[in-house]
Formats: sequence, structure tokens, C-alpha cells
Amino acid sequence: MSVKRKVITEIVAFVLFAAAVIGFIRVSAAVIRPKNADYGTDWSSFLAEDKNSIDVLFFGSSMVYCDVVPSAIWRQSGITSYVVGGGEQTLPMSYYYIRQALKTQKPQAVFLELSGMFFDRYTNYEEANIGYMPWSLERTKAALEAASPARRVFLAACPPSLLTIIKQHYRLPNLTADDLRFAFRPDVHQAGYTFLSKAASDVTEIRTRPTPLVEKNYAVALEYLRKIEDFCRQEEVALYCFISPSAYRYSETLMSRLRADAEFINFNDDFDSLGLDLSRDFFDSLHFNCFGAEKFSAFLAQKLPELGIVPSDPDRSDGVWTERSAQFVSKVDSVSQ
Amino acid sequence: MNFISLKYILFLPLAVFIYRLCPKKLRTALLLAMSLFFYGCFGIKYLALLSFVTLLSYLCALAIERFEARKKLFVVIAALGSLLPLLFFKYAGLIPGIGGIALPVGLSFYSFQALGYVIDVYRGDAPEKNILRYALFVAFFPQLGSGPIGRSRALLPQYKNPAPFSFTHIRDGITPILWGFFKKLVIADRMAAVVATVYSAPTKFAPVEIGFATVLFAIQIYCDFSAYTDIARGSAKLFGIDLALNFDAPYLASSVRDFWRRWHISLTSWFRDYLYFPLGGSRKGKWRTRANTLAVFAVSGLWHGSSLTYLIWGLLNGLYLVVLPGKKEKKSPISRLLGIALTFVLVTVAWVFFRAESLYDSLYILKQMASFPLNMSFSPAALGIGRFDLVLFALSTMILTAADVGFHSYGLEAAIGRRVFIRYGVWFFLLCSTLLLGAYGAGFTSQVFLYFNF
Repeated sequence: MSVKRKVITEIVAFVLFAAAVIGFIRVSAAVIRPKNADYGTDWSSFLAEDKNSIDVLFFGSSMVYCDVVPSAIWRQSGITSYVVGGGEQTLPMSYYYIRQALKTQKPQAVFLELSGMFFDRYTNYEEANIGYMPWSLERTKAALEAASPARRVFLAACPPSLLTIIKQHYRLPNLTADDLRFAFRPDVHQAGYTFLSKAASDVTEIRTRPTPLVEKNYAVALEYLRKIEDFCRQEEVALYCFISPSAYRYSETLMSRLRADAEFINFNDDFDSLGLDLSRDFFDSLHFNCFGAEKFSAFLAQKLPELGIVPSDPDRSDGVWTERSAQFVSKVDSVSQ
Repeated sequence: MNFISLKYILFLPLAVFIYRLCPKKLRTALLLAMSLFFYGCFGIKYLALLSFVTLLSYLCALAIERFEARKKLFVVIAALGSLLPLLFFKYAGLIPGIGGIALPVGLSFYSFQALGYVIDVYRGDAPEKNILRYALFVAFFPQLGSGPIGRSRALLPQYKNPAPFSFTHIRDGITPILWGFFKKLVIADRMAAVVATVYSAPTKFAPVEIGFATVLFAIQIYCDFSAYTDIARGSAKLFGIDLALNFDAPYLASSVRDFWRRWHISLTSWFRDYLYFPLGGSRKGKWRTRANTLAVFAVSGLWHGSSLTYLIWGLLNGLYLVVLPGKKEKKSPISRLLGIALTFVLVTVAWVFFRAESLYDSLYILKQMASFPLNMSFSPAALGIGRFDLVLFALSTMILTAADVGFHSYGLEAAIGRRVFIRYGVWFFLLCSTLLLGAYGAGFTSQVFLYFNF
């Protein structure tokens, strides 16, 4: 074989090899990716939403994705919403989530849950939070700014599919038919909500979280809150910050500090109006189960129009929302029984 | 810096790229700097000991040439300088009040390599005058952690005249690296979890489960150690440097003697050349040969650590060689297969002492495996595995066996290098199966290479 031919063969083989490896990684990642987004949105379902079809976007930690049910809000108000949450989503992470989400949606309002103001600077969920994001400039920036220093380069450089394999391949022995069924067709029913059915037996009273104020972390969170405010202003999207209701609350010291730095709705102030039952509506003292989340979402459905948020397209075909709502109701019913 | 780490995966190609761009004159210095950086990642303090052993052996070798009449003295100084730190770190734990001193990574290997060089100079080899080149010989990063223990005659000329860049170096380097990653992550580390479960509490398991874990350990230690060697050899090849072969399909050996010609070849041959032969080898009669064999294997056991179980492991292997019949051509395939099976059983029995956490545990495990009638209860769930793992163990063992047969008897490595599409097919299989089936990342406990402990 001539040298020229050898070189050409080598190049062709390498290109085929690279294509096969990339194809393998993408297909494998799609199959092994957890289909139940139990720790916030997995982005693939969010990106499957019709462009500019969401009226309200919710951002934050489990205090959002366990507490806010978009289908319940829609059922009562016709307002479409989506929870773009992530486990222990810090404010820097929320900032990049918002920037990424607003590339495909133009909501009337962004709702940002502010528990993250008091989170640690870096959390164990950062790999999942960044890993789920689509490969983009925002993802790279999120990795470089919001991830802990030891993981930054890896998270910034690692393609999402490869990261999925690295982080999720332990699921291989436990894959189900649904993993194949939803491999390339994300399950869009939850709209970012995580369904919790268990009722905690130990939630009997409202308690105060002994979280200390770490000035350094708080300063970073505040810096990114300002960035979020600026960005929403620039994008002409209303920003509403809030604190989700819970039975395990930040101390008055923290709340008063937050009040001094940010304007927000503290839904704990409306706790009594929500009609909550401590023994039935909580998954744990921090999070609602499906019953509590339904009540809180019904409350939000009333609150949103008061803030001037209305269904942006009343004539839209509501097939998917009807289906979402029916599925949620049916799941709640099955838990009730 | 562990081979199985993102740091190394980034470091290696970058190092090769810079090395290839570097002028020939500076390559030794560059490669040495890279090696010191690599070693420094384990802990800067370790560099001091590495420098001491390197400098002492370098000066002793020069002194041997210069002061011919006192050359024995300088060998003794080099031996003390190389072995005393090794003995201290290995056996300090036995001294009351001193304990828990971590063995510097690679000390057992580079101190032997340096000492071997001094002995070679004592025996007539010319010493290396260029200190950078000699330092590179001791510290070359692919082999620094766990060998293979190199010989100066094979390595120094390669550092002196670096091979010009050739695509075949890249091609022939990548295959063993990927094969090493596959063996370590897909086979060794997956099996390690079962082995650790059983060997940490053998009394909780049935004889068949203990036997199963023991067989898995035999495979695990082979895959773990040979994976390190493969990655080391592949990494060195990327720089155009050939390291010694350390494993040659050892579980296809048809006798224990044959096994020791194929297992950890660089250490076995080191002991043969620098201990067995000086003791008289096989030239001083039958009984002296037997004593020498036992002595070498006892030292080999002690080299692994201070535990009595290592000594017994070494002596047992020595005993096999002393007691079992010597070289005998096994012509029929059936007798050869029987030989392979018997050798595997004998070697695996010895591995029990190597792996067990105490002599009591070793004896208990052997007693259980030899109990009659054998309690056949076997619960994968108790071992922390499922059907998926069992299938994976079976498949990966078959692949390992087929590869060993191919490498040993059919020149598979060269064939893979030559045939373009087969090579890329093999790379695809190894890369993708390691990514998907490897015991790394979330859900797995990362395992260091076993021989990092020695």
C-alpha cells in the first residue's frame, strides 16, 4: 500500500471511529439518563416546550420543584408555567439557568425562590445542575463561575452526554423499559415538578432552621441576585423573588437581613391562608408532598393574576397541559386512595 | 497523579505534544521535569527521597568506576542507601510507637531499579555520566509508581538517542493504554468490590462464596497490576520509549515455574539476576538450589510488606517450585489444559495469603474452601452483586482469556497495530465499554492500583 493510501485509510478510519464514539456516547447517554427528574429539571424536557409558550418560569432549589405544580396552576388560571429548578440551586446557578432558559422562552415573569441566598457557595448538586444544561456558553460560564474550583474545568470541558455517562452509568443494571421509551422523547408531563407522595409524620410544628449567615457566601449570592435583576430588566421580564412556605424556616435574623437587601414575597406570611395540614401536606419539614404542593400552587394561581400575569395565549391548543393536569390529578388520586 | 484520573488523561497527551515539539537536546531535561511534576503530584515531600536515592546511586556508580579496588564498598553503600529507606517505610509499623507511616509511592520500584543499575556497573557496565539522563532513568513517570523495573542497558540508550517522532508510537501506545483502562475499570475494580466484601468478613460467607471471591481476586490482582503496566508501557511508547514486558499471559502457564516466568517479570528477573544468581543459583547442588529458591521467594514476599501472610505467600510459591516436578514438555492439549488448571488452583491458593487480612483469616478461608461436603449455598445478593455483574464477570473473563491467548500465541498486539480498521474497532470497543461498564464515577468506590501499596 502506498504511503498516500495508508494516510487516507488512517484518516477515514479515524473519522469513522470518532463518529462512532460520539454516536455511542449520545445514544448511551440518552438511554441511561434518569427519566424522572427528581432533582429539578433535566433541561431536555424544558427544551421540548414550544418556543415562547410559557408565561411564568420558576427558578430555585427543591423549595420550588417540590412545591410548585405547573399543571395545577394552569388548571386554575390558564397560566402556563415551568419549574427550572435544581438541587440546592445557588444564586450563581440560578443566574445561568435564567439566562439559558430565556433563550427559548419569553415569559411574562420570572419567579426566583430565595432560599439559595443562604446556601453554601458550592453544593453537591452542582454537577447535576450543570450537567443537565445543554452545551452552551451559559453552561460553560456556569461551570467556571458557579461550580467549586476543583470541578470547574472538568464540568466546563465535559460534553453533557459524556458527563451523563460518567455520572449515571451506575444505573445500567437497573434500566427499565421507560429508559428506552423516553430515551429520545423526554417525558414532558411534570413541567419541572417533582412528585412526592409520602407524608411526613414528624412535622408537627413550625421550627426555625439554625442556618448561620456566612457573609462571604451571602455576598456572592447577593452579587448574583443583582445580576439577575439587571438581566431581567434588560430582557423586560418581571422578576418576583419569593420564599416558599415551609415548616422549617430561616431565622428572623436572616429574613431581616434579606429584607434589607431584596424585595421579595414571603409566602410563609400566607401560611395560614393556604389551608395546610401539617400531618398530611408535607413530605418533610422543608418540602410539600403532592397535597401541599397542590394547595400552594392553587394559591399561586390566584396570586399571579393579582400581579398582572395572565394567560398569554388563551386560544392556544391546550392538549399537553390538559394531559399534564390529568396526569397530576390521577397521581394525587391514587395516593389519596 | 493516578493513571486513572482526569488529571492524567489531560496530562499525558499534553506532555507528549510538548515533548514532540521540544528540540532533541532538551528532551531529557523536559521529560525529567515532567516526571518530577508527575511524582510531585503525589506529594512534594516524596521528591526528596527520590532525589536522595537517585543521587546516591549515581555517585556510587561513578565511584565504582573510579575506585575499582573499593567497588564492593560502593555497592554496599548504594544497597544500604536504597534499601534502608525501603525497609524503614515497609517495616516501621512493626516498631512499637511508630506506625501509620505511608510508603512513598514507587519507592519499592525505583530503589530496586537504582540498585540494579549500581550492581550492573559493579559487574562491568559503564556508568551514566549525564546526571539528568540517569535521573530520568530512575524517575521516568510511566514506570515510577509500580514499574516495570527497568534495566539501564535497555533504557539509557533510549534516553540518550530519543526515537524520532513516528505515528507508530502513537498507534502502538494507545492500544495498551485503552486495554489497561478496560482491565482496571471494567474487570479489576468491579471484582474488587466483591473481594473486599468477602475478605473483610470471611466468616459471614459460605464456602462457595469465599471460593468465588478468591477466584475473583486472582483475576483482580492480575488485571489491576497488568493494567498499570499496560498503561505505563503505552504511555512510554507515546514518547517512543519501550519499557520491559511485565506480564505474559500468566494464567495460561502450565506449571508454577512457567507462571513465574510470566508474572511480574521485571521483579522476578531482578531477583534472579541480583539475588538468586549471587546466592549461587542452581550451580551449587540440588539442596542449595532449593534453599536459594526458597530464600528468593521469601524475600519477594517480604518485599511486598511486613505482614506474615506475605512471607507465607512467598514461601508457598517457593515451595511449589521446590516440590513440584521441574521442566517437562506438555505436548498433548489435554495435559497442557490440566497443567493450566492445576497451576491456576495452586497460585490462587497462594493468593489467599496475599489478600487475607490476617493469618487466621487465610487459614479460615482455606479451611472453608476445602471443607467436605461443600456447602453449595451461593447468594449473589449477599456479595452485593446481581445477575448483571455475574454476566459481566463471565464475559470480561472470557475477553481477558481470549486476549491473553491472542497476545501470547498469535501476536495479536502487532496485528492490531498493522490492521487499521481492526485497530480502530478494538479502540472503539475498549473505550466505549470502559466508559459504560467501568467502575468509576458516581456509584462506585474508586480503587487505587494494588501495587501502589507495595
